[in-house]
Amino acid sequence: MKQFIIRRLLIMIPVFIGISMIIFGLIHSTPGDPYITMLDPNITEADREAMLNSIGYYDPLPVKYIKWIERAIKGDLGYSIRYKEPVADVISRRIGNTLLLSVTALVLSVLIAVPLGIVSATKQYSVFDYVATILALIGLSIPAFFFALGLIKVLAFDLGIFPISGIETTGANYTGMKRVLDVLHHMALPIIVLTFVQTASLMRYTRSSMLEVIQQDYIRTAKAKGLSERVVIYKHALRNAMISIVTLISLSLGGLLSGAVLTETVFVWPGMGTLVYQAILNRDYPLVMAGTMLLALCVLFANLLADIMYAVVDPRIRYE
Amino acid sequence: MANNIANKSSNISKVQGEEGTSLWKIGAKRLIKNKLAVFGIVVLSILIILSVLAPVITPYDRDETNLTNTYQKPSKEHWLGTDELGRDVFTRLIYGGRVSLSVGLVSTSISVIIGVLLGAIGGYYGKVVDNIIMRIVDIFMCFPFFIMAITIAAILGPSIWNVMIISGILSWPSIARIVRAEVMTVKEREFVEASKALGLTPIEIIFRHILPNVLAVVIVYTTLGIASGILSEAGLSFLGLGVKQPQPSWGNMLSAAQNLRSLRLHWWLWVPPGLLVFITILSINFLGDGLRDALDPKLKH
Amino acid sequence: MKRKLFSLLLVIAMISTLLVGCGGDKNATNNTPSNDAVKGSDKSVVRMALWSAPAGIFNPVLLGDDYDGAVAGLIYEPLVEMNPKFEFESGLAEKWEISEDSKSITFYLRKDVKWHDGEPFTSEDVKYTFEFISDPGYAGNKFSQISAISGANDYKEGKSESIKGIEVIDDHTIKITTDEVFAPFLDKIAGIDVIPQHIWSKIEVSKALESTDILRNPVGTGPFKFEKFVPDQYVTVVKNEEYWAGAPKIDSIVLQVVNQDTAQAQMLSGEIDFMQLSSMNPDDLALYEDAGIQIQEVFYTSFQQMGVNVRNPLLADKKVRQALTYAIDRQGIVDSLLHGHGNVANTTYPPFFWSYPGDEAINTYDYSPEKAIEILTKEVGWEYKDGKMYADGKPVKFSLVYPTGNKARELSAPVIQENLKNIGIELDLQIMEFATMVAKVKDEKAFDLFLLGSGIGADPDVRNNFSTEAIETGSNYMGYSNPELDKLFEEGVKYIEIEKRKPIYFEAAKIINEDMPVIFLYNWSEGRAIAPKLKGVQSFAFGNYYKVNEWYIEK
Repeated sequence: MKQFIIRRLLIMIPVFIGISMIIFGLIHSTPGDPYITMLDPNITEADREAMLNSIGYYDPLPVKYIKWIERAIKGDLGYSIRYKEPVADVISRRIGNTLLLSVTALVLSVLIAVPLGIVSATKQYSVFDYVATILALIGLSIPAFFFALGLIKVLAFDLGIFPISGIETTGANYTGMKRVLDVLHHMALPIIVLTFVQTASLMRYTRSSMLEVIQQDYIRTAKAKGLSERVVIYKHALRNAMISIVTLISLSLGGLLSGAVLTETVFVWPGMGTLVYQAILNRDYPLVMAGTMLLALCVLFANLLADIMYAVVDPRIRYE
Repeated sequence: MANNIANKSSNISKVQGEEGTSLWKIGAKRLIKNKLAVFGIVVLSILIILSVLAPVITPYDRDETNLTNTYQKPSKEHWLGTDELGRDVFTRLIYGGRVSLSVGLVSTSISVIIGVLLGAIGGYYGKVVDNIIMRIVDIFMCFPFFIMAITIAAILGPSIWNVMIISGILSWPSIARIVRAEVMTVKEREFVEASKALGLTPIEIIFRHILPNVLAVVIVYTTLGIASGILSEAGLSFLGLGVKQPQPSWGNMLSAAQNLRSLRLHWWLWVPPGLLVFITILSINFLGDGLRDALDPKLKH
Repeated sequence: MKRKLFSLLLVIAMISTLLVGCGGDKNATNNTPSNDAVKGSDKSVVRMALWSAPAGIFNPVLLGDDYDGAVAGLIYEPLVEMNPKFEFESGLAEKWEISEDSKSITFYLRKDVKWHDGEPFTSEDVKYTFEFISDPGYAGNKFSQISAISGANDYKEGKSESIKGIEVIDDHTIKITTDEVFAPFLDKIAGIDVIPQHIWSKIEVSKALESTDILRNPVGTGPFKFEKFVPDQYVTVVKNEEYWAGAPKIDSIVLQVVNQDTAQAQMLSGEIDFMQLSSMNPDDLALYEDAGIQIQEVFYTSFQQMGVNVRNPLLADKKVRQALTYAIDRQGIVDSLLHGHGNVANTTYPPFFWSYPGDEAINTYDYSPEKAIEILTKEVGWEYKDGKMYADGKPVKFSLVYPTGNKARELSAPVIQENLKNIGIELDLQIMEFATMVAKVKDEKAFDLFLLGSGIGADPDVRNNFSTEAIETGSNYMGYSNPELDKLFEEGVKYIEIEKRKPIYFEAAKIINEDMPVIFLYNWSEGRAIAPKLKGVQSFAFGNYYKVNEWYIEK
């Protein structure tokens, strides 16, 4: 097992380098530069060139990449062109907000989706199964941003139950419990959106993996041996189905993080998604690079986790 | 001896073929029994017919602006009213269907072609080839979709083709993994061993024997992929990087109405495209589900 | 197993809530932690909407974006300020005297002004501000604005220890001299916000952008003092009790980031007290009116244009550009896309500005596709048959690049496409993200036509847009050159008095109107939505904060 993990970690190195090279190449081939949008008539072309020179804009791409990776290995992610402060500082301020949203949504959707999926599977073709399946399909079919705007219109605008955007009441300077409640209040709508979408796919997945397990021979045997339905399903079947469900959960964390761009944009949530999106528009290369790499790394580790979990359960995989 | 081998070979393909057709037949029968899947097929067919026949159905020009007739409510002349430039919403909606549906189709085709090829090659050859391909898959799986899409869109510029390409090249890894896993199990089966023994080239084996066996999985994946292609286009349009005006797509029609004013006052601008995206994807999901139940032997009763 | 997993995830979620919950405060730079102006209900707070987060560079001569500017504008002040009538009023300088030869101005500074930290404000601060900008290590974008000062260039190149043209006469008198008469002197030089020497001289100018601590704890002389900056979310400023023109009547202002699509709801529900309206949609206005919200209409000196690449042989002839102008239903665009809040533009100056020569002096190119076709076929020699326009036997087709971002501009593109279709010209629309589009137009010059806003600011000197020199160094992306116009432009900046400049710019406006190096589309006005209780706001094209210390909340 140890060997397997070490091997997987070693494999991550070329993958990591590959990711960083592709992302670096793409980001630096976007047309324009960080200062091109300053159409201020007071800025002359010479000013612009001087500013570009100071950030190493005119270096050839491979040189830029080597410079970047050299510093990145030492833990120096560079200086944000727009925020004029270390990229690490900019990101550390945002990453918590994004995790807050995505982890909470993930936990909630697991809490909702797994039980629903199990019941749905054990009572296949029942009314409950149909209703749950159709609800899940609705969740999969509705564009997240559209759903979000609809919620804002009804719950925030018409009914005024929730704030429209942001992460806290600005200028209120709440502290302690009051502040936590305030943040929770602001979180509600984005959480509803993310959870609904996430629950939909997770529920369907739980249902089908449960179905798969239920139909396997050993479950039938267990049933034939006269074990009660309850014991069979919750003791034997669920345990096996959980493996693939947990795998999916770790995989979906990556998706949740990168898919947050849309939700964060709609709700003006100060997270990673909007940060990187704005950074791309501003051509803030060091920031885009670090932000994108961080998101990619999250996915990479989530995938690794999934692989390991799978291998723990199914020894054949290790020797693949 | 030679005769014998030839005989054996034809036997194999015959067995294969019979198994294949019967599987498809059973599948089709099962699919038709599935009410939701049939609903999906019917709705999708109607939508496809509508968008193909768009020029015949509507008397208006797609991009015809009329600045004196903006934001009109639905009426006899304009079934779904007019938009901010006085263009007929119904007309743009059915033309938009062309764009949205073809974005879904083409982007999925791109990802299926890349995914199936790489997955099959990796699964069949194994070893170094597989290792390299799987690392590429790992790399692509780690890319955050929207962020990469935004970056590529900035390079390529927004257009319908670029949306297809972006969505296609960012979503092939999952199909590659599925195909690879299937190929690896199919590879071990006797008929493939036999074909090898008969001296068929790997390409022949992959195309004639292995791919038909993973077709079921691919079809199911493709249906669902189309749905996510349409959703991605809508999302990209929302961020202003999708299909561009004046060409309508359901995604950019939706995002044009994203402000509260339109949400409040001009329901005819956002309800129809929103509803169509929803219904289309719902239908595709129904169909995909039905196909999975019908084609996946594991779920046989 | 299931329960364990859930509780684990739950714990993670709670921890991250706490982390975020505490994190915000820790990161916020807090100037006066005890002075919590917003909490008490008897304090008056005004909340203003920002569409995007300030970067946190609250130094008026270093900052590069509007949102930082919106913050700095409340904290810092210039020597002279422009008022809503486009006249100069005293700011930190109580009065000023222009020398006989118009080349130097003596500023008499106010004696009762203190920096927010209690230090007195003197002429040394003014001198330091200009030296800061002229420093070789200066990384901001204001130098070209003051480079006319005698000796500024020498100082920048390290050839001198001080700027020759800046002379401190005493603590509260300073004289600034330029080499040549510099017409926009008051606007460009005296309009620069002054920064405190005792704070910024502590660090090297070249390190200024890295001094996050100083950047994010700005000290100015203005009506409001900086209080708190929560990155990506909001900035709070509180009133300066000792403000020279009288302490502000409101206690604090919160500038907060909101989503432009949903801000309207926040305005209506009273969460926001002030925001810019990019659209004057009558439906919106009616809604605001019902809620008692005040609307101020602000007329801009800027215009939207369709730039023409005159390097394209088909577009090199001004007759073609004139015909295109006739072919576009610009009045229709103003009426429908701007809801009538704007006017068709025909030259680079808006009708209300002093350098506009008057409607009768210029051609107004009233919408007429027939006339367009007539010019193209009779005067240019193109051929029009079966609804298509041909030049030298080939169908005429142009590409139009335009950026995302401005709704009315985005929507005008398909209208222009339809309009040109009516005279048989095909237009290929290419919308792109702003930076990409500008790179295409500015660096690659890969376009026929482009849409972009442009402005004259407060001075009619538009050399940067239309002079021959600006093809290389400015925003003359069209590649347009007219020696006669160049000469007028040079002449125009030689006088400070408006009356002497008027005839020169009238002539320039007429030439631009005739040549149409860009096809002028429209001048527009935008709105400011102001909460019913907030009084005293006077927004105009160059600022929202005029006499902000006199704003008050009606009880």
